[in-house]
Amino acid sequence: MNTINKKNISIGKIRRKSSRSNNPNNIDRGRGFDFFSALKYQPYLYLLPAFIAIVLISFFPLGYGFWLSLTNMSLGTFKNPVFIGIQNYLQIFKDMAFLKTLWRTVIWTVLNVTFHVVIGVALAVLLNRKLPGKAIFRIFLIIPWAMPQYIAALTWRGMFNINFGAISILLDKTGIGRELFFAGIINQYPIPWLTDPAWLFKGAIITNIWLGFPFMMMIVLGGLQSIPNSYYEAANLDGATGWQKFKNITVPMLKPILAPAIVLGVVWTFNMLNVILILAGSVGGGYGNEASQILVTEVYRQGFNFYRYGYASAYSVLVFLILLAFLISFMRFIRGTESVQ
Amino acid sequence: MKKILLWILVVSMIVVFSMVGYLIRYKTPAVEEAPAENPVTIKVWEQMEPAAQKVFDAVQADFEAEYPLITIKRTHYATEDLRTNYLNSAIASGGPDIVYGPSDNIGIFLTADVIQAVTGIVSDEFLAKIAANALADGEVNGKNWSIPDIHGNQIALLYNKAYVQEAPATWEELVEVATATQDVDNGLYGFMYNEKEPYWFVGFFNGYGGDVMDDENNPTLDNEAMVKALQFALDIREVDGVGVEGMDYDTTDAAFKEGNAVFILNGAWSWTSYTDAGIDLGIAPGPVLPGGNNMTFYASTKGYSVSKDVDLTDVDKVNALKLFFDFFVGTAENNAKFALANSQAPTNKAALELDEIKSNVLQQATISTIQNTVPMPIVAETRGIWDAIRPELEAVIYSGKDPAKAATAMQKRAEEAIATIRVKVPAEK
Repeated sequence: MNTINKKNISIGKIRRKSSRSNNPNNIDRGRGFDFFSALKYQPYLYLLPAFIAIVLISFFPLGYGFWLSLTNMSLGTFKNPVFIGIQNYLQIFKDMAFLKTLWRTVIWTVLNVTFHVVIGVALAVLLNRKLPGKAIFRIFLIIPWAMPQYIAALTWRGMFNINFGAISILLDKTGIGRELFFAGIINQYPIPWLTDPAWLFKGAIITNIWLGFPFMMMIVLGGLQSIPNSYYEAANLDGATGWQKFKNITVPMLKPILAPAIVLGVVWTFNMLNVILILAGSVGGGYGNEASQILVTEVYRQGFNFYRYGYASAYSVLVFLILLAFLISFMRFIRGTESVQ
Repeated sequence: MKKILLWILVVSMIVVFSMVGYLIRYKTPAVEEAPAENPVTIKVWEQMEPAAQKVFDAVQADFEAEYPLITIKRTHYATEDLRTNYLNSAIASGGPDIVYGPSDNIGIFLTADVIQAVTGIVSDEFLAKIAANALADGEVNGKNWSIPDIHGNQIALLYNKAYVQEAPATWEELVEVATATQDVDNGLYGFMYNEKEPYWFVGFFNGYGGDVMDDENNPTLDNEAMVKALQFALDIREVDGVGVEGMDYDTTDAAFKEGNAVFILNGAWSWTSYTDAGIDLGIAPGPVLPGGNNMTFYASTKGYSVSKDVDLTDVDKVNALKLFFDFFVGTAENNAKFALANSQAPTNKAALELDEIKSNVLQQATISTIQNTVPMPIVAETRGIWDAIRPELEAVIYSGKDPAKAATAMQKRAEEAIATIRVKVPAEK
């Protein structure tokens, strides 16, 4: 290989020399079009269309949003916003409601993603085994993912109605609701899913868990099918238990697949607007109690109810930075555990 | 080192594109001059119901046949999308000449300075063709900012004539009939309405003599009228024994369509759907409240506003707009078509006298119930009012919050919300 490379290099040199020596007057030496030098930039030319697309789709809106967050752009200053520095950010941090909403958003995200992963992994492990009618189960389990979010959330809203909803009726007819109430597990019965902010938040979490677990399940199922069976056979020979195999083979082998899926899950859940707005019946104007809202619904409220574009942009930038910080920490953590292994 | 370079790249790109955004934002839009005697295109962005869109297309065809040099380009948007996209177009350019929508858009567009008074385009003779109460709905600071083509959107008391032959005049009468008729165990409810939506609730507040804002558009929610209205809303289920917890728009609508509700409160936009569902529909003004006046709901218009970007020195464009308004709203027959398609009252005075309007039962119900309404405030501050009412109303009817405390909290919320809408953090120096 070395010989060939050296040979190629030397041929290149000879060619270059000969091309120069063929020029009788040596005119434009170093200034004319040099094909071989141009070749050096060819890869960048190939990348250019994608680069331009990324700049237009990602960087420009990001930069514009950041710029807006430093202005007082609102309905009253719509055409002539003024640069106000970090005042929007200071105003957000001064508002105690921000911290409460941030905390609620963290709870919302952690609970949702945890359940997505746990349910997704459990179902994927089940589906990875020999099961009668596995294909049918798989189709049924994917339905929540295939259904448009808006429709799904509207359906759940109907099911949560305190009097007419399927969930309320089910809890009533089976007596489970009363049992839970008398056991002190729930503090209200019938459960005011849509009318009490705390219950609305719980209802939104249930809805979003239902919407999100199929994605994790499919990702994990793909990962499970790529684990060579020989690992499990070797573990069987060593007398490993099911839990030991899961802990020492399945989980480590799934990590490279689960890590990006969790990152995506966190970003999507953190920014999930539809479910809470639809369940609260806030789509198109009215706005529910703050106790059921998360950061991104606050961005929506400030931006589209009050038209405070600058302030809403500052909120959006903070959401972006929070997610970026999480992403960096999470990836470091994953790399750390990989290096330990 | 790579990480540092990456960060430098990201930060520099954000800075560069922020600057590009700034430059684009502050670029002065070029004014295009339409040459005289050339064809004119009128761009219309609308938020119309499907039936009204069909009428628009038919009227447009007639218009373009009569004025071949003028072309209309119609683009449809949903309510919120229309607002957002129209505002965005004011910055990015490429917006319409005319924007059509509900009158509460006017306050937002006016505050954002993206529409102009129609009085600069149409004549007083033209405006005299429009019903005064409809025209007043689009009036701010003595100028008209919209040419309304339909009037209504008001909530009224609806009853199923299969159960009740005549509408009750008072709330007490309604409760008496409703409780006597309802059979909750078998899914027949005496009275239902969208109990957590401020647009319904303000009918009670107005009926007790309240007004959500004063002349300076400051909130006026912490008063006796609000306390009485909240107490009334709470008592509907708790004391009067009608209604059902969790009733909202969808459940009320579905129950009435299925013949499972005797009385409901719902808006003019829904009435046709009930007759289509085979309900023998009765329509009446909201009944008299205990110790108050009639429930007094809002009425509003939908209409055409003219973009601020329309150059009034462009004679061809201005003339084309005049012809457009005269054809679509100023012509009684065309205005009646839109009114019938929307199941709302026409705004053209001559259209109100047409046989197709006079002989239409729903039209007459709309026209008569409008008499019992007040105009909906259209200033931008109204958003702050809605935002403040809803959580406190929910707290009263769902969590038993004291109405007096809720009224005080509502006022505080409204003041804060309106302050954010009016915000101009130190803008002008």
